[in-house]
Amino acid sequence: MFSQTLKVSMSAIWAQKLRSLLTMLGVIIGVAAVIALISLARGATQSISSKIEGLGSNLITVSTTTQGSPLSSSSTATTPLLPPGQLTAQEALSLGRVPGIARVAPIVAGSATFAVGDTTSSVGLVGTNAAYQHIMNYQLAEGRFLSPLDISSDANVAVLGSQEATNLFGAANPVNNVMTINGIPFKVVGVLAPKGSLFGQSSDDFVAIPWTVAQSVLGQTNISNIYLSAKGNANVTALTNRLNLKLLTWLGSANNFSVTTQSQILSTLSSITTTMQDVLGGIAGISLIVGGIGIMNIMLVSVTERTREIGIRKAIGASHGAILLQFLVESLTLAGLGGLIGIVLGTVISDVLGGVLGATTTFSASTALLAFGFSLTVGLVFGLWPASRAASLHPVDALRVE
Amino acid sequence: MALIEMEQIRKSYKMGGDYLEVLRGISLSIDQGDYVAIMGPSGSGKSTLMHILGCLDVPTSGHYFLAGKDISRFQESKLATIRRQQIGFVFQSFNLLTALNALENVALPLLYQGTPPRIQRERAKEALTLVGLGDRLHHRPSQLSGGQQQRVAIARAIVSNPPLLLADEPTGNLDSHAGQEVLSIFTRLHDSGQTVVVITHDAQIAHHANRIIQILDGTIVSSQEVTHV
Ligand SMILES: Nc1ncnc2c1ncn2[C@@H]1O[C@H](COP(=O)(O)OP(=O)(O)OP(=O)(O)O)[C@@H](O)[C@H]1O
Ligand SMILES: [Mg+2]
Repeated sequence: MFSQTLKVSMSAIWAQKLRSLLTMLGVIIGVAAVIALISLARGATQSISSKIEGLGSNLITVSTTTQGSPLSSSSTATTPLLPPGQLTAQEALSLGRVPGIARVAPIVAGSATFAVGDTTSSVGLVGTNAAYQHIMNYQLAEGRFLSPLDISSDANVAVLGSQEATNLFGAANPVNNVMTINGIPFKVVGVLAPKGSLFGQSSDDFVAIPWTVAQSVLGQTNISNIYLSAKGNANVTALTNRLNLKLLTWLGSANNFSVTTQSQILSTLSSITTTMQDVLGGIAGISLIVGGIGIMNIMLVSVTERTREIGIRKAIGASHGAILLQFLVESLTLAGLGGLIGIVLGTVISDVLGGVLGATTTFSASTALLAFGFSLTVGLVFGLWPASRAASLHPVDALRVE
Repeated sequence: MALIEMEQIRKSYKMGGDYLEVLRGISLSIDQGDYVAIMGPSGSGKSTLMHILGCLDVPTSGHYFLAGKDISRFQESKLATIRRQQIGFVFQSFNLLTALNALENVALPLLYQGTPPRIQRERAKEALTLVGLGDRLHHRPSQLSGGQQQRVAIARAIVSNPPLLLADEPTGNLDSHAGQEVLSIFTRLHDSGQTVVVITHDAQIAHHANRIIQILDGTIVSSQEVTHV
């Protein structure tokens, strides 16, 4: 009985191909949208988190939030006494003795003007030490990175990010050439291998010099950030607590600094993407409900048009339940078919879009299943009223209709 | 025992504020195996009576015993069961489903009885052969003449062997030749024991029956046996 009802419903849908397609359109678009958006979002999340992991293993970032003070105003004292809320280089480097910390890179950052002959550019200057390369997972393309000797001897040497190397030197090898930073000559000793960009920000357009030299070039004595790497077996939470405690005694208030671990960044990211997926899912859900209303509308028209058919079926013995089933199966078939077409279409769209945007997409079978289940539910809910209207028609009244 | 027993059947419709009484106390009795024609002028209430006889509608008052059971107060769901099991309809306007072919149309009552598909096809084929359409199984109604369509409708009405066959002006849309064919099928069915009730306003058609019941303005004015020569 059920398989025959399915046949009856399928032939009714097939008999009105164009109209059935238009009826399904709402569901098709809704499901396609949810599939495409979610696989794009998941693909983006995966590539972002793998990039964050690539930033450096066990990376911990300490940032101070107060402004740096000019060198001139505090250089009178023999020991660099900074106003409260600012970190000295000694303090930063002493963090390397905190149990569980493997490496420390103090950062003195600012922007400067770089020049090679007539070519100039103005990007970020990073004053740091040898540990920076390992903490940030940089590979060398040419030459070497900053050495401990460079730091202790205040050597005017520079290492270029790959993009900045191209900006200043074009195709030529920059190593052992001279460039100027804010007018001061520096010898280029190395070029880093490219790492790509994250959140639209390139990791390859900067110049690294010894932090001791950067302090005088930029005219500041404080350390704005510290990059640390934890030992592989370290308990990151306990480590963060120890760091917080130390920084609190130095800087006075927790408002003056922040300690961020990689796992925090990842969990923030995942909560952002979960929210994003919920929002996308919600929008898609609304469009599916609109699609369901479309199905209901057409089913009501169909019931009206087929009143006589319903009368005939009832006259020859169809029960209330049989008519109900016939029309429910029809709306379920429309919605289910729409869902399937939508899944295929959404997968194609996300592939094409992923190709165009250069983004990775991740097809999720559970999302597809959920979308299909939701479209069936929509078909059931919105098919119920038209179907019960059909089933409740009085046979004599239905037969009288031309 | 009588297959059909009607006692004081009344049917009225509410028209605006008034009640229009279409059937005004019909009492009749039809035996199993009988062949009865119901005659009357247009608007006299023939179709209304047939809808009640065929369990498509219920009377406003009175009693209707079908095979000994009073069904005059039955709910629509129970009436559907009776229609499915005990009644075959033939309408003036054929009322075939245009999307289905002859075989599928005839099999439809069996579908609603839950008969297995293979048996549905077998019996539908038998019924179509019986009305002389064994070679038109896969024709759509639009590919058949009016007389052929009406014979498909008769096959559909008898495919599940219902005790009662009801026909409301079955020859009304047919020319006299096709009409004669339909009537000869009824005669044949009656000869094999089928109870047949035909509604008509054509005296010649009515004379194929055993008995003619005349109604006028919702009441029976006469009921006489037909003497076949
Ligand atoms: N649902 C209804 N509501 C109101 N009046 C109705 C309804 N059904 C039938 N009638 C009235 O009942 C009367 C009898 O109708 P019915 O169809 O039974 O006549 P009939 O004898 O079959 O006529 P005909 O030979 O033209 O088919 C008519 O006057 C009709 O207007
Ligand atoms: Mg009539």
